[in-house]
Amino acid sequence: MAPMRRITLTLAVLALPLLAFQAPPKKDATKPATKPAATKQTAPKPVAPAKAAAKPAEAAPAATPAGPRVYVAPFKGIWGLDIHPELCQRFVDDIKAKKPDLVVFTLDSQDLKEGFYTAERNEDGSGVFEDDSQRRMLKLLDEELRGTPTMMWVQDSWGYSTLLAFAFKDMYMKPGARLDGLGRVAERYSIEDPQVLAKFREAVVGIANGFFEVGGYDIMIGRAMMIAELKLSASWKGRDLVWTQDADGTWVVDGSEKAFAAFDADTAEDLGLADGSASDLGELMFLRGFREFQVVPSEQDPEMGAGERIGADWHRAWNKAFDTAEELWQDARSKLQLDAGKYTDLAKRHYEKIVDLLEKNDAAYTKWRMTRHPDLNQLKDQIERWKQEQIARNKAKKDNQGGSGTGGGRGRRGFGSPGGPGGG
Amino acid sequence: MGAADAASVPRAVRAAAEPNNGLLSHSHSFTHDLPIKRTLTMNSKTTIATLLASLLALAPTTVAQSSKPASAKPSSTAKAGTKPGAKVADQPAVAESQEKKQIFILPLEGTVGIQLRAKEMHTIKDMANAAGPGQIVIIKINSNGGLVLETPEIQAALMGIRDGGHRLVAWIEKAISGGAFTAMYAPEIYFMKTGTMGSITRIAGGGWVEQGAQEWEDAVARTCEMGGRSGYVGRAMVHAEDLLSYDIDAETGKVTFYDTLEGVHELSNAKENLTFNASNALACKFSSGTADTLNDLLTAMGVPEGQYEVSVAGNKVFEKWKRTCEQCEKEVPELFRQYQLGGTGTGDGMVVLGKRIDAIKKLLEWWKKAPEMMRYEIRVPEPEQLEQQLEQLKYQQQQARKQRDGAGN
Repeated sequence: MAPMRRITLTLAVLALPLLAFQAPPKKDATKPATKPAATKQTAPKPVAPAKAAAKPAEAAPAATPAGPRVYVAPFKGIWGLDIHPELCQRFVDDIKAKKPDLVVFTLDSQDLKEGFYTAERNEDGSGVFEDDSQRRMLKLLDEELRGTPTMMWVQDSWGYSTLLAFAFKDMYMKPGARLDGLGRVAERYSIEDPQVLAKFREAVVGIANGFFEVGGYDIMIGRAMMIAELKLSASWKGRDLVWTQDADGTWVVDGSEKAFAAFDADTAEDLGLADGSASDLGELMFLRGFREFQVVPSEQDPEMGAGERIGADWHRAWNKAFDTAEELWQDARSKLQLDAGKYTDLAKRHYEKIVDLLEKNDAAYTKWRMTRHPDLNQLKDQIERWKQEQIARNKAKKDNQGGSGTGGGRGRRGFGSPGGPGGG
Repeated sequence: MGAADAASVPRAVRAAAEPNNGLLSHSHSFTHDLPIKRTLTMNSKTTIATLLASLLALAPTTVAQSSKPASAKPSSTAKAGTKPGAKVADQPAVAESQEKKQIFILPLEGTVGIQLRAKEMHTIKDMANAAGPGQIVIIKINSNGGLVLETPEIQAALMGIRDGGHRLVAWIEKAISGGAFTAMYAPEIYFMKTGTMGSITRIAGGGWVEQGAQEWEDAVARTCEMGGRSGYVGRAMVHAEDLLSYDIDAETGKVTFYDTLEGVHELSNAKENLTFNASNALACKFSSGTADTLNDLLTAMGVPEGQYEVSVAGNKVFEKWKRTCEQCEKEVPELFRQYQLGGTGTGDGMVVLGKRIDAIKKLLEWWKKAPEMMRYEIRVPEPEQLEQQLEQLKYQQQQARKQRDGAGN
């Protein structure tokens, strides 16, 4: 019995450091009423844990990978194009297949960027809001990943994308990051008639506030971020933070009737919207209680994280579809200007390829419409016109080749029946 | 033509119906639709008076009958220990065993009066009635609103479900305008976390309809009361100047609504149009609970274990009509293309006439299958106009044939 007990004890002692690394501190699910102490301390950075994790092949073969398996899924770029429900579906499918211990969604999307002197519009384009498909995205993240711990790490967000940040209960930010630009929602209800304005405004803001509901944030925050006239302040009642739609609270977020409420990383953290701020993934994981972790790698490219690869592939694919369509469109236009008669067939083939590309790629088609191109129905009309012209040309050619026998002409007019060789 | 809101017509074939030198023509727009692209509108031929008359004609019976509770209202939270024991049935309810009662889930999506129709509600009502009293009907709403014209039929169908002794539940994904109006008939309303409900202001052509505004507000308030709720709530959803606040009795938990701002909790001031989210609807008990999945919903509803099974009939009914609408949206533009251009390359008038006649015949078939889509969504000329056009084309064809035969002789 004694040796047995010794072995058990030895195993237990050996297991202690492992447990110390693996067990994350229990996190209070409720939003902190005060600043979380952990977020303010400058945590000693672990030695490049992310890099080590991304290269599992270099690790000692016998060593068991330490820490949780973290899946990083980047939402980066233009809302509605780069950040798209299809990309979300791909992330969700991959996450369900790989079963990580933790999923970190990152958000980096700006319709407005900080320029040298002032804010500048993003040259790459600005976000598109399509509430049904984007709410589907929300349901995917909320329902399909139920049971998988997820969190949001905001790199920077200005525009509709900010809604997505608020759909997560666990939100962290990068120092200097913004939660801003929800004033863009006001573009959806810019109407003069006061009754119609009220109807549209409350409907659109209500729909957008669904994101805040999913994340468990007070909808007053969303309203103040989307309606300029509304103010926003917060006060503490014991440990609870109470939001009010006025400027009478202890902490005034927005005391103006002409500006939309917004948060920078510090304010978001101070008011308990964000759980902390982290400069890199290592620091973020440290804040979550993990000194070590491993990023779930891509199967095709183990040097990359799985989510990073999916995001890059998605971005490349839809941009390629759009760029190819645009090249074909420009080529068709220039050739037709040069010699419409000569290049009609080429233009028709180009248009057919454009239709095929755009029908298969919603993001590319969205950008296509945003950039003032004809829609699919117009393209199809033109293709049909050219098709008929081609038929006419072929017929004329055949007529010329076959002489001017009148019998042929009559034959071809018989209810679509071919003229037949006799008619030629 | 009906008077669906001009702004509500989607990108598909906006003006496909406009005659152009005897041809049906296509036109397109580059603009993106507003999120609330279809709103409650009034057909110019249907006066507010007739609409309200039809609503009121139904009201006395329904109000009287609605006083009979179809089902007991559950508490706002899921009852502990009452797990949803309902199993999903593979066959429509009518084919199910008589032992278990059915839960019909009818998704209602799209524009009221077009994709979201009373017809499907009537179908489910008939199925529930065939299965006997005590069935559960859940209408799962995702709509930006639509045509006022559909409301009397919706009322007849939904109050018919209640009168049949069934439990009617609305499950809100998005119920704006006519979508909210539809949900009001249900004595129990549950929200998804993303759920939104309200904004029932009646507009036409992008503007507020002043004529009959008060009657409309009264009708919405009455509908709200039919669902067992304060009419003030409905009013605040219609016009901005209607105020709404409430108090909750600390002891009994009873909610009292006010059409002023005297209540502790303000819901709608003079500049706002009431639109609920899941949290504030639950707080004032307008919503009976919040549930994102069917299991969550059945738990929140307190559906007892082993007594019900979930029927797929509602989904089948919905999917069938959805597919028809999608097919219509895809095929009709092709038919217009055929009408405009079909056979023109042959230079043969008979071929062109044949293509056009064929296109019109197929359009007329679509009118029989999906009149709502043809009239309000794609805006195809009315069948009478098409019939007239068809006759002309046939006449032309006959003349051309005679001419050809004459020339041949």
